[in-house]
Amino acid sequence: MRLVNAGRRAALAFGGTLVGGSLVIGAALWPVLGPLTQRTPLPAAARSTDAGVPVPESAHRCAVQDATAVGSVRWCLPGGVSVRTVEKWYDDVLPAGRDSGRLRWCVEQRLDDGSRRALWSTEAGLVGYVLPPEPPQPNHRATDNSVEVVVLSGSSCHPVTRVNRGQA
Amino acid sequence: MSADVLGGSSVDSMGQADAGAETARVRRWWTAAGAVVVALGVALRVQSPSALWLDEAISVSISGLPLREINEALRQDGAPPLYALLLWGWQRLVGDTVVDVRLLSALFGVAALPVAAVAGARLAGRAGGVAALLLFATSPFAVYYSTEARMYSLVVLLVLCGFLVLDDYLRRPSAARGALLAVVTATLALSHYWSLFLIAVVGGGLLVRARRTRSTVDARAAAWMAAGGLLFLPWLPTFLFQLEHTGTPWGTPAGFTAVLTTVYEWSGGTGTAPRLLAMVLLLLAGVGATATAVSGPRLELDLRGRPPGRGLALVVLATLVLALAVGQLTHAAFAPRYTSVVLPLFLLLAAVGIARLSRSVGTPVLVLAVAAGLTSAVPNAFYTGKTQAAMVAQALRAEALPGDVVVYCPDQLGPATSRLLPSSLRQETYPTGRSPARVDWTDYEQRNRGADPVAFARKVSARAGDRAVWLVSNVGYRTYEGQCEALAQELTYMRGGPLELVEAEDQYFEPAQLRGWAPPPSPRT
Repeated sequence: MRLVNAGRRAALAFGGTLVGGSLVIGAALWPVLGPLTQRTPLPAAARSTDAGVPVPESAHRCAVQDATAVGSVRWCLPGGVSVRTVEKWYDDVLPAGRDSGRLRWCVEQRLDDGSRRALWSTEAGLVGYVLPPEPPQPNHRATDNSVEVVVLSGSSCHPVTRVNRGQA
Repeated sequence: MSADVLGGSSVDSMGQADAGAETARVRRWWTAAGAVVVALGVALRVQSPSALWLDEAISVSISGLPLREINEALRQDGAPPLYALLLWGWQRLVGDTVVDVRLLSALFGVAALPVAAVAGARLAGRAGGVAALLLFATSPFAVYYSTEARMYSLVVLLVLCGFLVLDDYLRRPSAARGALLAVVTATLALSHYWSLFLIAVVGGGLLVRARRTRSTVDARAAAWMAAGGLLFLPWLPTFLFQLEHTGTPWGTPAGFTAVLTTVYEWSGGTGTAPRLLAMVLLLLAGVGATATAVSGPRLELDLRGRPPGRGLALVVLATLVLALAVGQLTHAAFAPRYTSVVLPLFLLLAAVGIARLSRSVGTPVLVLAVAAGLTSAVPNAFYTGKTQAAMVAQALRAEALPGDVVVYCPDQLGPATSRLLPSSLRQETYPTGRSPARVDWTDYEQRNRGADPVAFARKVSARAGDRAVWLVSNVGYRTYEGQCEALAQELTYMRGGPLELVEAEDQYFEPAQLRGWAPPPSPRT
């Protein structure tokens, strides 16, 4: 198939359509690829919260908090920190599935917005963190760039969990 | 449906002006760009990041059975046998991992590309061949179903082969070509039942034309197609059983607007790029069916249509309308994937449309269609949201203990999840208590409507004894209205409040939630 005319016009048409096509593809895929390009590192340093659950030292209390989640605090992370980076940080500092100090491992749950909640038992109840879903998750409730430290006072680890059935 | 059948015209004969001398360098660049696009199309067809969803898991389960048991499994499933048999051989030859089983579909999808190019060239010369190749390579629908362990990419390939075989026969009739036509017709019918609508439309069209033009060749072609029915005869008893007892109780028929929405499905669904692609394809299809003459940017249209595009358009439209009408009459469900029987003809029609346009218009339009197609196809190929089964299975592996009972309500959640779990768990489906590996669709609605979730919950709790009960469920399934929740309520009454381990996420095509009940402190069953 001879698709172009000779000479400069053809070359221009080729270049133009190629650039245009690339722009269309790039623009459409950016929502998917954009978050994957975030490379801001997260130092290992941690700060302890009132609940005893660590958060990255560079995190700060978000200005907007969920008033319905009593005792839970949302911690905002610096711009450019990806969800994977936060996950890796917690894998190193407070990995799900293990006891840590006075925190006794309980269970990990998947919530309906794609986020992941890891819970530990304490004398006062359950505490833990909620990691945001990995992108793209169109129906995530909160800003992706945050971690929620949850406190469920008075709650205990459910008896169906493996730790409560004697086989952690 | 063939170039000859539909008038023997090709776009090359329309007298498009030759563009003159092209520089070899620019031509090489275009060739390289086209090759990159085709390579991307091939690469996209071998992606399989998601776990197998219901239909795929059932296919793999059936093809994992001994050969003599496949017929019975298909009777309960409602599908024709060809893909199951091919997958049966493939699984033994290559393997049965997710990547292995999807590779067979990728193979069909890649094989369809050169066949599409030949078909496009036969319809509309070299321009049509290149356009067909690029449109197929970047078709979001063709890409997606090349990554799914189902029969749809096989159907696309067979329709293209059928087009070429029929065209061959009409150009140079012979017994050998007629026999080949019969075989391809039979393989299509044995791949997906929607093919029967296409076969009926094409065969009927041939007969109408034979009567009008007194062409014996057309009549003989239709006869060869009918002869293909002989190869279908051994399957006929199973087909009749399926017709009476299985059907599609999981869904509802579609209205005739599905003809239009189907083009959006072919273009990748929702979003800017799919909408753009759908508009471009519809425009090209219109041009392909009606354009009569071209002069630079000017185009003359004949609304009565013009061969070969007119015939393609008629076959696509008539097949869809016939299928939807039969669906309305028989209450059969509609799923966009079934339209894979006409997608190839629609893309060929769009390729004819490209070839109808002048080079200065056709090239940017083709580039636009390819760019929009790739943009829609890439997220589809990397789509990880087919099923939540992998997440549910991961949670069960983390928390369930050997001897625990896993119940699936509805049973349609069983095939995808159960294959990912260890055999130490006791798995069963509501309401039959049978294995979750497959779904028995036999008299499905009648069976489910008469089920008793409270009695089932009591029995399953008793069977579990001092072990946990896990329920994989979701709401919104036809024939199960309220039953899975009633089952959960009764389990809660007997065993206390459940642990919600996985919540259903709407972003999945097949969402599922997982709840667990601890053994009761003192048996109340």
